[in-house]
Formats: sequence, C-alpha cells, structure tokens
Amino acid sequence: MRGPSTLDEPVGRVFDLQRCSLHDGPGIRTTVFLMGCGLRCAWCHNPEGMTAGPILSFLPERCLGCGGCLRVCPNHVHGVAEGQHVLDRSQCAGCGRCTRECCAGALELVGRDRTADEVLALVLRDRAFYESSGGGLTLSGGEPLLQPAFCAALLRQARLAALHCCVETSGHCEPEALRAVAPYVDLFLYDWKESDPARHAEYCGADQERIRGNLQELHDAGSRIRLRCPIIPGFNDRPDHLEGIAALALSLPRLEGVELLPYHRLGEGKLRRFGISPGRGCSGESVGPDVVPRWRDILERRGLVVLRAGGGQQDP
Amino acid sequence: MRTEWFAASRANHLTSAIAIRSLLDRLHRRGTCLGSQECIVNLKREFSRAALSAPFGSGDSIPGRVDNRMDTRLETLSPRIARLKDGICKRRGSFPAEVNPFSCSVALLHVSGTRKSRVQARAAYLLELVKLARIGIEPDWTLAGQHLPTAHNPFLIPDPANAEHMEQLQKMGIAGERVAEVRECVQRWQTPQRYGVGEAADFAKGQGYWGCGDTRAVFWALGWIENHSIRDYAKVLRIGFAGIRREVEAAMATADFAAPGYPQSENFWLAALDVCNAGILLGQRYAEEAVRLAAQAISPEERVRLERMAGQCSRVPAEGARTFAEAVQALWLAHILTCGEDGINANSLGRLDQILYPYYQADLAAGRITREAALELMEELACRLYLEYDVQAITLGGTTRSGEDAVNDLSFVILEATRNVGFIRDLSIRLNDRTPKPFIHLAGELIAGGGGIPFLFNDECFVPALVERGIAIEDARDYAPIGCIELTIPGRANPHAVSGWFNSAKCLELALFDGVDPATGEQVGPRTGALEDFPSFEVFYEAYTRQVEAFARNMVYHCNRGELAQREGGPLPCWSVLTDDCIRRGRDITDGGAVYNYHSICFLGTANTADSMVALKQLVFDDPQVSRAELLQALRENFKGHERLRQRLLRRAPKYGNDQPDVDDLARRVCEDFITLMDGMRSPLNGRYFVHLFSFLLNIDFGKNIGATPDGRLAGEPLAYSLSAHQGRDILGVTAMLNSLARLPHHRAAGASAAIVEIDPVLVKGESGARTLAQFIEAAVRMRVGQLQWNVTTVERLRQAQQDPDRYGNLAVRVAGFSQMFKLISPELQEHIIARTKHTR
Repeated sequence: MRGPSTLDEPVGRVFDLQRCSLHDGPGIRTTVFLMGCGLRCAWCHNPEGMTAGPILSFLPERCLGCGGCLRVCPNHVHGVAEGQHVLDRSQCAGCGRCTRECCAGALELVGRDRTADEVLALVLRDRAFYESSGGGLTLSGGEPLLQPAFCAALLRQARLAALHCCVETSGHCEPEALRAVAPYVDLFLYDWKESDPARHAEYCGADQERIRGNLQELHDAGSRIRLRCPIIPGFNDRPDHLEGIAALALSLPRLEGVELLPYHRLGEGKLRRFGISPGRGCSGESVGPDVVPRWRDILERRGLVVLRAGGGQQDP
Repeated sequence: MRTEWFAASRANHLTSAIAIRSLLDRLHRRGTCLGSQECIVNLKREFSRAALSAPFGSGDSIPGRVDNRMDTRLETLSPRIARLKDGICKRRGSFPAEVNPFSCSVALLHVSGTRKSRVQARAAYLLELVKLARIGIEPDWTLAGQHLPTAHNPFLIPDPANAEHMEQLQKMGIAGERVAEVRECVQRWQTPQRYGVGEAADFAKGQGYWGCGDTRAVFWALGWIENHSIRDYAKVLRIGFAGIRREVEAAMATADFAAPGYPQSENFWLAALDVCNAGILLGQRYAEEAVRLAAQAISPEERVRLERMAGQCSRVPAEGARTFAEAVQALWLAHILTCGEDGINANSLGRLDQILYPYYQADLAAGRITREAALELMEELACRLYLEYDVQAITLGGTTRSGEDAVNDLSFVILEATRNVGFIRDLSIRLNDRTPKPFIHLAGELIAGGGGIPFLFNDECFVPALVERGIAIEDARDYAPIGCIELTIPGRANPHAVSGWFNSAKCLELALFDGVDPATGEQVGPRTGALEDFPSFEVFYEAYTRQVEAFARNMVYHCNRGELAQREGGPLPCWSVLTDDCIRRGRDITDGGAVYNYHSICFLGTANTADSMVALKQLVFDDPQVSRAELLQALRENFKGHERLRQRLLRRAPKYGNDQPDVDDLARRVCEDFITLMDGMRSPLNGRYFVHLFSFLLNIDFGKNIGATPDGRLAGEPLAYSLSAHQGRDILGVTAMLNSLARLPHHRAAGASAAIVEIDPVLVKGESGARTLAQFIEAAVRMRVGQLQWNVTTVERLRQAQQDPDRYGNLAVRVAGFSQMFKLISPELQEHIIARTKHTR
C-alpha cells in the first residue's frame, strides 16, 4: 500500500491539497490528503483515498459527449450506452490519457505523486495565515502513515520551516510509522470510530486491537493527542460507544481532549464520481442537531475536555 | 420593534432611490455634453428599477418572520435611540418634514439680482438657503440639525400653467411676473454648469469611442469633483466659522490690493465670508428655535434638553467646541452646510475617531462625560447620518500624522455604536502592522454579523502609494476614503474622486481585432495588427498597450476638460473654506486653492483581461492548442458551436484568484502599466492622475458592451468586480484568493484598490468565526492586500431573498464599495452578486 519512493527524495501519492482548512487542527491550515487506507469504513467520506493508485473521477454533467476519451483510451474504458457515457473501470490502468483529452474537465485523474519539496512549497504559500491564526500543515488521508517515509520527510521539512504540524490518523498503521513521524508532529488527531471490537471489524474492515495499541504507545511516549470521534447514524451513535469513548479517554490522562464530528453526507456524491458502490447499511442519514450537544454534556460531566474541531472549546 | 424597523426600512426605499436619482440627474446634466448619456441612463434604470421593486408600504401586514441578523442588537439600544432610529427611518433621513419644492429656486432668485461673480453667487446662495430653511427640532434628539433643501431637492423650474406650482411659489411670496424671473434665473444658472468650456475639437472621429449604454465603452470621463469630499471639520471644531472668518479677514487685510491676482482672490474671499456667515447663522437659528421651544416646554426634562441644545448651538459652529457634545454638534452642522452646497451623496466625514478624540478625552478627564454617554451620542450621530444609499464614509483607526497607532477608545465606541444601531453605514477602518488585535477582532465580529461593514484599508499599501505621488508623509498618514473607496487627504486636497473610468477588457478585445469592434465592424481604436500576424505573446501585449494608450490619452483630455468646466462653472466656496490653502492663497478649490490636486481614475476589467491574456499566451502562442482563426471566429459568434473551445479556454488556462503566479503576474502587469501611464499625465491644475483599482458597478455596464473574451466569458456577461476574481472562478478558497490579490500593485494605487471576498457564514459563525475572520484580515494586512470588503452570505440565502424579499427584508450585501439591502437592487445586479458568492472554505 505504500506510495512509490526513492531513497533520495521520498514521493507521496496525494489525492488532494485543501487550503484554508478550518477543522483539521488549530487555526487556518493546509491539509494534505494522502492516498491509501487499510480500513474500509462503510461511511467513508473520502472514498477516493481508499485505494493506493490513482483513480479516475468522472462528472457526467460536464461531459460534452465529444468522444475524445474513447479515441485515446488503450483499454476501452470509455463507451457509449443508450446515449450515455459509460465507464468500465475494471479496465482502467490509471494512465490519464483520457483526462488530457477531456477539455471540459469531466474526467480527472485523482492521485498524483509529489515530492515533499513540491508539497511544502504549496503549503508555504499560506504562511501568513498560519502565523496570524496559529495554524499550519495537517496530513490526512486515506491513512497518511501508510506512506511513512514521505510523511516523515515532509514533516521534517515543515518543522524546519517552523510550521505547526498535525497528523490525522486512523491509527491503522505500523507502530514504526508512528514512531518515525512522532518527533515532528505537534498534535495528533487520532480517530476513534467504534468502541465495540466486533462491530469495528465488521464496519471498518479491520481489527481494532492494533489501533488501540498504537494509541497507547503514542500516548505513553508523550505525544499531544486529540481523540476524533465521528458520529455516524445507524453505526456508532449508541450509548455503549459513547461509554467506550469516555472510558478510553479517561484511561489516557495526557489526552488533550475529544472532538465530536457529526457525519456529513459529502461522501455519497463522491462515491458516484469514483464509481464506488456505497457500503453495507449506509443509511445516509445526517446527525440530529441535539446529538453532539448531548454527547458533549455527557463527556464533560465525566470530566473530559470536549474540543471544537479546529479550535478551542465547542461553541455553545 | 422588529416589524416597525422593517416597515421603516421599506418606507425608505423611495427616499434612497430619490437621492440616487438626484445624484444621477446631476451626473446626467454634466454628462450630456460629454456623450455619456447612455451610461447614466443605464445606471438610472438600474436604480429606478430598484425603486419600483420596492414600493412604499406601511409594512403592517408583512407576512412571516423578518430575517434580520442585525436587528437583535436593537435590544441593546436605549429606548430613546430606538425611537430616534424608528423615526429617522420613517422620515427617510435627516430631512425636514416639509420642504417647499421651490426653496432652492427662490433662494437663487434672491441672489440673482446682485452683481456677484460666480463663486460669490454660489456662496450667497448657500447663505440664502440657510436663511430660508425651515428650522425643525424634533423630539428626543440632543443633536440639532436637519438638511438644507439642496441636500435632496434639485432645482425645480416653475410652470405658470401648473396650479400647484403657483400655490407653492405663493407660499414663498412669489407671484405674478416674479414667476418668470424664477424660471429665467434657474435656467441661466444651470446653463454654465454644463460643460460650457467652449467647443471641443472634433476629437471623436476614429478614436473617441466611448460612453456606454448602447455604445461600446472603453472609458467614461467626467473630471468632476462634486459631492465627493472630506472637508476640514476638525478646523470648525477648533476655531468655528467665526474663527475662520477672522482668518479670511486677516488674509484680505494683509494682501496687496494692487497685486495682479488680488481681484480674483477678493472674489473668493468675499464668497468665503458668506460661507462663514452661513455657518454661523445656521447655529444661531437652531439656538433661537431651541430657546423658543424651551419656553413652551411642559416637562422639566424637555426644557433641560432644549436649553442644552440652545446653549450648544449658540456656541457652535460659530466658535470652537469646548466639549464632546459641542464638537459633535459642530461637526453635524458643518456637514449640513457641506451637503447644502453640493448634495449628500459621498460627502464624507473622514477620521471621526481622530477628530473627536481630544474633546472626548478632555470631557472624560474633567468628569463631564461617561463612555456610555459618548456611545449614545455616537448612536445618535449614526441615526442623523441615516440614508438607505449611504456613502457618507466614516474612517476609524490607522496612524497619527507622526506614524503611531491611532486607535483610541473612541474608535471602539464608534464601531460599537455602528453595531448597536444596525444601519448599513459606510464605515471604514484603517489597518497596519501596529493595529491592536482587539480592534481587528471587533471589526471581524461586525463583518461576521453580515452587512459587509466595516471595509478595510491597509495603511502599509496606501501611505507609500500617496507619498510616491507627492503627498507629504504626515498628510499621507492622515488619508481617509471618500464614499466607496476613493482616497483623499481630508481638508487638504481636491481629489476629483471619480474623474474617469477605464475599461481594460475592451482594449484587449480591440487588440484582438486590430482596433475594430467585432460587434459593429467599425474601426474605433488604432490599427495595431492582426492576431494572425503576431509572432509572440509579447507582440500582442504591445498591441494591447497601444490601444490602452490611445484611449487613455483621450480620457485624460476629457477629464482635463471637466476640470476646466468645473473651475468655470461650478466653484465650491464652502468646500474651499474648509480646505487648506484656499484662504491663504485666495483661490477656490476648483481654481487651485487646495494643497493637493489630483484626479482618480477607476481601472476596470483586471481579472478578465488577465484571464484572457494567460489563455492567449498559453493556448495560442506558447503551446498552440487553439487556432487563431478559430478563436476569433468563436469570439465573434459568442462561442456558439464552439463549446469545446470555450471549455478548453475555461479549464486549460489558469484563472486569476487561485494563487497561480502565471496569471496573477499578468493581472499585476496590466495594473502596473496603466498606473505608470497615468503617472505621466497631468491636469490643468498640474494635478496628477491617481488610479483606483476599482470598478464600482460599472463592471456590469461595461461588461454588456464587450463581446466574448478569450477567458471563456460570454458576450455581455458582467466583468469581474474590481480586483475580485471573475465570479465563480476562484475555487481554492479565501487564502488562495488573498494570495492572488497580494500580487497586485496596491502600493502604487494611490486612489485605492478594492476587492470583495465572499464567504460562507458557516465559516465565520460564532465567537470562533469572528476570530477566524480577524485572522484572515491580519494576514491580509501583512501580505499587503490594499482594500478588502467581505460578504458573509450564501447563495441559498440570496436565492431565498429573491423569492421572498419580505422575509429577507434586511439581508444586506456588499455591492460595490457600499453595502445595500439585497432586495433593493435590480434583478440583474442580484444575479451578479449571486454569481460572485461561493467560498465555503
């Protein structure tokens, strides 16, 4: 699952670079999204980050029907059925020829290999905003720590440039990867999706044990950590998971706090763009307006700090 | 309270439309001879549509909830201020309840029989208006003063056949053959106010391709200076009009009357004396009325209020102010005199926190005032200034003349007052590297609340820009914006703030077609070569430059004519009395009396010109993917049948506003080149030509007259606003947009620059949102972005407001250097604003 890299200059496979992020750590930040993930969460809202290789994005509403892609594709991915542009993604090698032909921007190859220098140069464009807000760089994904050499190189350079660095991780990675980046990370945003191990295995497609172990190790080694807990209707909006979050957070005394992230439906539109079928039992419901305040109250009554994603205390 | 305020705001549509129309009538009168009639007609249509779509109504039966994010703050107003606010909205501004429509015409008649020179006649006319004005003192107010009839009443020529006209004239003591005299004197007065500077050479043939509306606009030139001023109110507060009169008398006494220039100066000085007398009389008349009413007052509180008012008005503006309350009263009466001379429009107050602070501080030290009382008085002033189309700018913050941070407690008080009252006031703050964070934070809070105020000006850009163009450093540090954004040095400059508008995108179109307008086939610009023959992008750029030069020279010629016309036809003695060094030099401001004379030219089309150029450079010249013949044909045919080509232009070339150096550098280059060109021009008063990187609303009108452009813009589509990206093209968020903006030459734009950043309210919600906004602002100041305005709204919200204007009655948006209720603007302008709106991050 690792991105290609060389000894001299690690290269990372990046699927998005989002400037002006206000919810991925403190202040105004640039979030670099890295491709590849070991989990298969049914509700994933960055499905294009699941795969390790480049993935073709198709926006049918932009397609002019010019047929350019049909002509250049060596693998016959593109076709016409009943007057509609259809894709046979199983044949796509990710060469990107069709995207160069598509002048309307309907086809786009997501996932580019970039050097740490390249990424850093883009990130540094917004330095004035980091300085005025206490923001900086956040690595996210996918799972960024599946590309540890690149992450470490980028974070090291960012640190040399005096940027504040966050890593948002699922924790589903080699412990060595965490150890490699930890010295350069100011703050970990550590996902905690499901407290029940059986359900975790079922809905996230991987064992929870490693995630829990990595969290403990990171905590014990003295890293600054915030627990990020997505609330997904129909999956984990259960009292026992809330209890699980409380118990976990209370067992980690140096934890900075807990962030509660209500699920948003952005992912579904994206699924269609990438031709991915929705996960099992994905209801697509949004979180009710009272859920976050209620959970926050309960956690705060246990003496835990609940933080607003991106900033200080949650707004009332 | 909610419904009442809403009703009041509805009642005000008409007023504002009338005010705008009267401004436009004035524009129209001046413009006719310059041929820009169509443009003004267009603008008029714009605003009159707004007036029509907002009929006068009682507002009692407004269905549903009024969505007004600012009105929650009403709760913080005292009951008295809430009543003032309500009343002023119903009365549509500080206008007298009843004005005889012939007040101005009759005042003119009274001065027309005299042998006065033009400047003297204009001063005598102002004095006459003060004598004729109805003096009204309303309940609850502590600040006396209603506008003179000129503020929103243009001259009316009586029609002897109209019984109502005759009745109104009768009320002013005019009847019989005197009616014809009124007719005559008004007609005679207006004639030389047109561009009566002699006949112009036949400049138009082959080159003079200008005006807008149905013609194809390259530029629009006026050269005018009226009602765009910031006058030396601080001087009125310091020494009063009696003190200024003594100054005039001293200047006359020490001058050598045998000197060759003396008679001309004498003309001016005698006019100046009349202006001073008018100022003194204005205070006296309010004092007398207050005394009269005090004698009749029933309640002791009422008597105290009126006696205090009488005391203040008998002191100011004749003599210097001794207290904060006197200072505010003097300033307001001086402003009435200003608006009496040449209308309200963009006659602005300037640096209010700096002007008033000494009085505030002294009162605090002496225990005469509390902060709360000062806040209430500032709220009252905000009510006094109320207009729906309000461009009477107040400026806060910035630096002192010696360069220290100038934010004081009063800066906060005035910001708070603006927030509390909740009017869409024209309020600017000046920022620099030393501005205290709490001040920026409070500004962020106001902006996050919607309404688009305050506007932000960066001292770090504009002070150097002014200094580089000959303004002394102390004066440059004292700058303030007039109306929308136009910079001036208060009390020391004749800025010709809206002298001309210049459309770079039209020049680009002409350069593509060898000077021929593709819409008409007419050769309007110089022949600069066919696109097919240009060997490189640089040669094309050269052709564009030649088009710009040809039209810019033509524009300057017209601006210069305008300056001359203003000097001959429209002296402004009141402005002159409040401007250094008019009195010492014995010259009117239109005649070289001011320390600084300059013209300001709006430069439009930056984003579209740059986007088009980068598409040409990358897709036509450097790596040819588009054939030149096909491009020209597609442009001529408005991309009909050329959608692939258009998509290629839209998506394969970078777009300004996304932090892409390739295109941003071209945007900088076109701005810089125009500024350099204008730096070489001079006006008859040896004034320089400053550049505003600003479009006002004309990006819409000018856009109508340009065909499809190589940036993928369709024919007739509005151009981008000022320095903002073309609507919908900045897709990487606020930080990228600001990075692009920071690449432009704000530090050379001595007229100021402007950009509206649209931002989703979700991003700046709550306390943390205001903080985020303050952080964006701080970074923008450090990155040397010149001027910024923020629209905090969503497309959905604007669409809802279109569907249900009543419910979203008070939704305010940034329009163009000013804010306005969304429902008050024309559908066309609404669409433009919706197209601009998008940043969700």
